[in-house]
Amino acid sequence: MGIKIDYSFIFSALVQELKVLPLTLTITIVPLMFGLGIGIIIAIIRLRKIPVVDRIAAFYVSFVRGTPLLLHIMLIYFALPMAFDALALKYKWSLHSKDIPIIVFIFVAFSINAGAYMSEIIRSGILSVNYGQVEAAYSVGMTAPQAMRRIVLPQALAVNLPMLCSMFIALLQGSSLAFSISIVEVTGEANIYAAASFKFLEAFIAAAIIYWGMTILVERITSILEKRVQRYNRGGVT
Amino acid sequence: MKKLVLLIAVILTVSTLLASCASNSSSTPTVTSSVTANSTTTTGKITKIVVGTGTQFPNVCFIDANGKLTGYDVEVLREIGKHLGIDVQFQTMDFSNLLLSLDTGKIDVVSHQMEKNPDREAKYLFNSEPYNVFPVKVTVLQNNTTINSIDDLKGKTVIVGATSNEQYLIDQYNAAHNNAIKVVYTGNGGTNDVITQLKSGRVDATLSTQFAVDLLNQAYDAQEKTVGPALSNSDTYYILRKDETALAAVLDQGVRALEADGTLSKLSIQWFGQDYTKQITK
Amino acid sequence: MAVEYGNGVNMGSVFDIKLIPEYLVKLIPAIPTTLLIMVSALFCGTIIALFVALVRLYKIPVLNQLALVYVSFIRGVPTLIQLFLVFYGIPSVLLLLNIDISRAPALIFVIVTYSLGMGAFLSEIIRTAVNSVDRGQSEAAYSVGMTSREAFVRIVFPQALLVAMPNLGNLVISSMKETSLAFSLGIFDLVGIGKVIGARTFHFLEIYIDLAIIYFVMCFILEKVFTRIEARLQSRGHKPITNHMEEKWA
Repeated sequence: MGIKIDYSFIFSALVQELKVLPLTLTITIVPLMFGLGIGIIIAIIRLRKIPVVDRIAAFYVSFVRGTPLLLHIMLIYFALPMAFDALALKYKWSLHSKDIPIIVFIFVAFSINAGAYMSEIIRSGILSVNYGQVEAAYSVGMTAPQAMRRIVLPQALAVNLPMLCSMFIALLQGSSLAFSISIVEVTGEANIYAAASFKFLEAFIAAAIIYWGMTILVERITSILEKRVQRYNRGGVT
Repeated sequence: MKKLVLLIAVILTVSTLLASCASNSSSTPTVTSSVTANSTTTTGKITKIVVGTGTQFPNVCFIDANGKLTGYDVEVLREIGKHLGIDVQFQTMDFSNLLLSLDTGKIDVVSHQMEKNPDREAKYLFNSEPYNVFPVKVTVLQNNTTINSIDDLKGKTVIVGATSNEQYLIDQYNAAHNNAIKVVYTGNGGTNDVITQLKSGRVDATLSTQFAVDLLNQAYDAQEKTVGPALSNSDTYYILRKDETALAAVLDQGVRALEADGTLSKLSIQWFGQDYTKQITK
Repeated sequence: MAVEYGNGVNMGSVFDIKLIPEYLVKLIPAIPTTLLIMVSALFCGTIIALFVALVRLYKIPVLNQLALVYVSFIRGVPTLIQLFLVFYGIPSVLLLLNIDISRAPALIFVIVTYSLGMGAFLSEIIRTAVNSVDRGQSEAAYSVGMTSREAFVRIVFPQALLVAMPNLGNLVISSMKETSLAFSLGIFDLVGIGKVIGARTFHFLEIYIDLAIIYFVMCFILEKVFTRIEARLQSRGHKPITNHMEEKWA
C-alpha cells in the first residue's frame, strides 16, 4: 500500500500556508531586532568587564547556548505567566498574564535566544576592528561611547552581515516550534489544514518549500548587500 | 595526535555501547520492535497487530509512574489480545500523527477514543462495535454562567486539539455560522494546556466529555463542567485502513467478548470511576 | 469513586520546588537515548560529510550540483519538517521500489534525519577548513617528495583540523540540542520522557527546568572537551590563536 502524492493539495496547502507567512516573518524579524540590541549590550558589558554584570552576562550566554530553543520557549511559556501574575498580585497591576498575547512569549524566548548567540559574534566583530581606529577617534576628541557608536560598531556590524543572515535563518527555522505553544505559523497551519483531509505529507512538503524558498531568498539578498558593503571597504578591517 | 584520535574513538565507542545497552533496558516504555507489515499469516489468521495510541490522555492512554503504558484504551486492547490469542503491540506518538501513521502503514489500528465523523469515514474504516462513549459537549469553568450551549460560543474563543474530532466539530459549526467561533489549538502541554488556558481566561471554553471532566476535576482540580447537549454521535471506535475488514471483524469479536463477560464494564469503572459502557447506543 | 491513577499529584498550577530533584532522577535514564541519537548521527554524518566534501572539493560534475542542493535543503528546512518528511516520506518513496520499511523503529528515522543534517553542516566545515590551508603547504610537501596522500595526512589535515575545531565543537554541541526535537516522532529521549511525566503530573515547569539543567550540563562538558582538544592541537605548534585585543578594551 503506497501513498499517492496529491500534487494539487501541495499547491493548495502552499497557498494556505503562505497566508501565515507574515506571522512567521514577524516572529523571525522582531526577535532578530531585539536580539541584536541585547547582543550589543551584552557584548559591551563583557568587553568592558563591568564587575558583577559581566559574570551574569557570561552565565546568561553560556546557559542560553547550552540549552535547546524548545526549552527556552517552554520555560518562558510556563514561568513567565507565573512570575508576571505574582508581581501583578504584589504591586496590584491591572494587567494579568492572560492579557498578554501568547506571541509575546515567543518574542521574549526568541530574543533571549538570539541575543546570546549574537553577543558572541558581535564581541568578536568588535575585537576584529583595528584598535587604531579607536585611537584615531580619541585623537580627534570623541568620547568612548561616541567612538563605539560612530566608528567601531558600524565596521563591526558590516563584518557581521553574514551573522545577521544566519541568525535570521536560524530564527526562521526556530519559528517552526512556535506551534507547540499554539501559535499558528507555517508549520502549525500545515498541521491544521491537513487535519481535515489527512494529507499531512503534502502539507509538510509545501511547508518545506516555503522555508527553503525563504532561506534561499535571504541568502541571495545578504550576498548582494555584502557586495554593496564591501564596495566601501578599502584594505579591509583586520 | 594519534593518541588523541584513539581517545576520541574509545570515548565514542564506549558511549555508543553504553547507550545501546541502556536503551534496551526496561526503564524506557515498551515500543514495538521491527515487525513486518503483514500481520496476517498466509491462511489469513491474524496473529499480531500494531496499535497506535498516545501518551497524553490521562487514564485513557498514558505512561504510569513505573514507565508502563496503560489506561482504558490500552487495557481493553490487551484484554482483547488475550481473549483472541493475538499479540497486541503498541506504538505511541503524538495524537495528531496517529492517522497519518495508519495511512503509511506504521500501525494497523488507531485507539484513542476516536469518534466517527464524515471526513474520517470517507478515508478510513471504523469497526462496528464501539468500546466506549464520548459525548462531546461544550466545556467551561464551573464558575461560568454565560455559556450554556455551542451557540453561546459565538464571538468567544475555544481551544481544541489539532486533528481531533473536536476540531472537526468546531470547523463544521464555523463553516455554517460564518466563522463565529475563534479557535485556538493546544500546544505542547496537552491537557494541562487546556486547563491552564481556561483558568487564566485566555480561552472561554473547550470541547470535552463528562468522564474526562470528572477525572480532571478530581485529580487536577480542573474546575470544569460540561454544558449543553452532546454535539455528536457519542460512540468511540477503532480506526483502521479501508481494506482491513478482516481485522475490523476480529476487533468486533473481541469487544463483544469483553462486553459479554463484563470485562469492558470492569475496565470502565477502573479507569473512569463508573461504567460508561452502559451508555453505548448500539 | 476510587479512580486508579498514576500519581494523584494535585496540579493546581502550584510550582513545587521539591519536585525538581525528584523529577531529575526520573529524567536521567533518558540521557543514554539522547546520547545514542547524537553519537550515531555524528558517526553516520561524518561518513556522509566526507563523501560530500570530496565531491565539493573536487567539483565532480553532476554530484557537485546534487551536493549543493542537499546542503541548501538541510540549511533551509527546519529540523521538525525534516523529521516528518523522512519519517513519512521516505517509506512512501521506498514503497515504489517495493521496499517496505514502514515498520522500522522511529529511532532509525530519527538517526537518519540527524545524520543527514550533520552530514551537510560537517561537509561545509571540512570544505572550508581544507580550503583555508594555504596551497603552498601542499606544494612544499610535494617538493620534498611526499605523495599526495602523505601530503594530505601529514601536512594539510592537521592544519585543517585546527581551523575546523571551533566550528566542529559548535556543530557537535548544537546537534546535542537538536536532538530535543526527536520526541515529535515518539522517541522517549529526554524531552519525550519529560512530556510523559508531565502528562501524568502536569508539573511541566519543574520538568522543563530539570531538562534545561541536564542539557546545560551536557553541553558544558562537551564545550570543555572541545576546548581541551583545541588547546592540545595548538600546543603542537600550529597557528596559535591568541586574543591580544581583549585587554585593550577593558
